[in-house]
Amino acid sequence: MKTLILERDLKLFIDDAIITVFDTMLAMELHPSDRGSHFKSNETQVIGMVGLAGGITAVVCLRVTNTFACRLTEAMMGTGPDASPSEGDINDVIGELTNISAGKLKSCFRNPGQTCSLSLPTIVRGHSIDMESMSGTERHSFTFHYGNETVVVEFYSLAKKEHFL
Amino acid sequence: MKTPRILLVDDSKATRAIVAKMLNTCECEILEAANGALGLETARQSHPDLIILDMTMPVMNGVEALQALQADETLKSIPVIMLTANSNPEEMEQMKALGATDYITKTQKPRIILDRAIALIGLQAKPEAIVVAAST
Repeated sequence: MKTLILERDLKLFIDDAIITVFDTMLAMELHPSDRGSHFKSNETQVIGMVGLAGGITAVVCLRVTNTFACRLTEAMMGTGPDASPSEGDINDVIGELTNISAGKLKSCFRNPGQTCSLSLPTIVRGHSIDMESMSGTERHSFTFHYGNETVVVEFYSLAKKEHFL
Repeated sequence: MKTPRILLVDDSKATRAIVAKMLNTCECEILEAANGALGLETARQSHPDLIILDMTMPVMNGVEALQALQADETLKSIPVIMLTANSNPEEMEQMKALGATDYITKTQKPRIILDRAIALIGLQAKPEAIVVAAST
């Protein structure tokens, strides 16, 4: 049996997961936004991706600009703004934030007796990245703001009819 | 008195940095390893007083490392705190059954790790940390 999720609950789960993770790990208070995402086409984006498999089959993506990713890395690693973080450190931080967010989401989708596993995080970086879902996959996008910075969380889930009421 | 030695095993350098920063407010020596296999090797060499062990890691994950620690007569008495991105009560019970002393999710405030470490091995705050705490 697959987990059934109310569409409106997904937003509540994701808002709670992302706001909690950024508050806990970075002491940053994120605000959900209905304004949508507006990344400049010439700015590098960093995207963390973690898959869930079991009670639900889905991918959680966390997308930020490279500038904000550097700031997050400085905050998590405890380095000052003078020391430019390495690409490896940025990948580590974005991957871990995505992993912890997916872990918190996983607990929302869990049914007693059902297992649900997380994949190791993957990082993608580049300009003007468009992600497209395969046939039968449902895409949901949620935007958060921290000052002028934007965090976009995309949730791709398989078999909409089985997961969503 | 011997300085307590804590082994921190997590593949995320960022998480190790956050936990180490928190633990560094107390008198302790922190050792780090990036996966279960390296953690096991470090534990055998250094015999830490406490191990903080991430669940999901490449090469050897936290569960495999915990089982290897429990199978080693010289290491099985070392308290182990499991650290995980998942908040799952069934997994918590499973880890405790395998010999973990405690289980903390990464969405809990990092301060909780310090509180558990203080409770388990009696860490003492560094004098400068007490001064900062007193003045804030």
